[in-house]
Amino acid sequence: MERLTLSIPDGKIVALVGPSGCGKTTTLRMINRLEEPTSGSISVLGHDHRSLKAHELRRNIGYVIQQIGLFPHHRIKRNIAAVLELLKWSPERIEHRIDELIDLVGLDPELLNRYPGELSGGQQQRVGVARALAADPPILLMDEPYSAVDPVIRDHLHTELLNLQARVQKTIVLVTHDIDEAIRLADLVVVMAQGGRIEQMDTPAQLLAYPATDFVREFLGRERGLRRLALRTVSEILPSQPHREVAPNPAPAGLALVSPTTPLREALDAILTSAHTRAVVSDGGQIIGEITIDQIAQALRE
Amino acid sequence: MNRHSWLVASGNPGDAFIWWEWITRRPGEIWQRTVEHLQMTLVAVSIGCLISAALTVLALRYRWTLTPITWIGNLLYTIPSLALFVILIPYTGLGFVTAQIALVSYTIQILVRNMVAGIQGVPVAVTEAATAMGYRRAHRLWAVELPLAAPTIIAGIRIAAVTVIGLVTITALIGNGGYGAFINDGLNRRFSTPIVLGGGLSVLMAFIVDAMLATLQKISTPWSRGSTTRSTVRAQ
Repeated sequence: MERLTLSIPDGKIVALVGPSGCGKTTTLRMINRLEEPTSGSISVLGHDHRSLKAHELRRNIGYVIQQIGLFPHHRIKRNIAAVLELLKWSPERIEHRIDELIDLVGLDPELLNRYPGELSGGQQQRVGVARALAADPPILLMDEPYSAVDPVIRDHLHTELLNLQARVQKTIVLVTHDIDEAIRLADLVVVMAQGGRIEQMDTPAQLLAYPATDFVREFLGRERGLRRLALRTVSEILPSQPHREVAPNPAPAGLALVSPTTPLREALDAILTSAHTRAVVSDGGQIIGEITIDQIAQALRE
Repeated sequence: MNRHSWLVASGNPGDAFIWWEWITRRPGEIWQRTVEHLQMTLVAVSIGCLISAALTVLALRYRWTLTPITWIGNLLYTIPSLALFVILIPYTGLGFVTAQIALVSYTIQILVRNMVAGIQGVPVAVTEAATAMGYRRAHRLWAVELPLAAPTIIAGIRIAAVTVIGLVTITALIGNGGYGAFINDGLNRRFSTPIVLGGGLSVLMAFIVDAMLATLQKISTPWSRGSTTRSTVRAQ
């Protein structure tokens, strides 16, 4: 890695993306001192991070990795409590905190007395997140956390993470090679190239609309337009025309039905797979309008 | 005399392969030899474990030492015990210390190999997660790596213990008691009963100790019952 200057805002999800070998994982691991920079400095929570001992710093930073790395010889309960034991919390306090955590990550309390080997990948992942959040650290580092779970579970875990973040407001640094994951989860996406060079750091919408370099454009791939559509919902482009009966209620057979919260990418897909060029928008059983392919295409040009 | 007659206990000690009465008359002596044999074994395996643990920590901390440590362990393992006695007797004399040096030196290779393999077999993700959570090195070794390496380490102790129990019969040659004392006695008097007794009891002890350690090995990994010990992600 060469020169890297990066500042991560509090309370946001920042995704580091880039091809393998670009230094995104190394960057992440420098934050909790699993790697040490050969030169330069890193400041965490306003202090140079070498002012604390490495193990003390790490107890304030949650860490979630792809392989999860639960302790196979400890039951789930002790796995979640690992950092709390290091911090010498009282057993009653730990017990209470575990209750909060399993509620937070949506874990079945019955699993608490199992061993990690008895859990599914998705369940282990939740335990990994609960463990990382146990001591309520202000920072959470996640290294390819969802790469090993299948797409259905991954989608579910993505939603869970966003719901979780809405409640806990952590500073989350997420490393992923999956641009769709970055776009879905992050407030800010950092696209990195070989040598840890930052090609662009922007919100997902800005990144997709205005890639700064050819490298970024190439990395975002051919489906850049579709990915932008995934970030917007039907309600954003629904014409605010006076309430007009656009279609008989219920919608005619063959016409796609979408809701105001449907992402445009999904709405487009629904239209394309129907026999028409428009879809009916319905909110709670009430038809409130319709959108056309042209309107969706227009949204990309804005 | 037919071909099998030497197997029959005739009441004449000279002819009998096993003279049961000779054995049943000696419960006290058998007990004493058992205790001696166990003591020799226990001391040798314990010292072997301590030395091997120290060498393992060294080998894991400074990787370059692993090759020479392995090399020395192998060398010690290949020296015949009788030859080692001859080499050691001028320095450490006939007795306990010489016997223990020989016994311990046989355990090092087996124990170090299993200890290193056990610790190295702990999934990287697990040690990494421990470090990232703020475990310090020694604590991590003690609380995470050691329990996970326990089955492999105990497997090494099983082999070492069984090997040592067999070898203790030879250390009787330099006056350390144990079941080997029976064998010596029998050899000196050309009398088969004590030889069979000493050999048989030694084998029996090896079996029992091995079975006990095997049980320990099983109960030391309650998490692996009916499931995988690895923390790799499985599909939901």
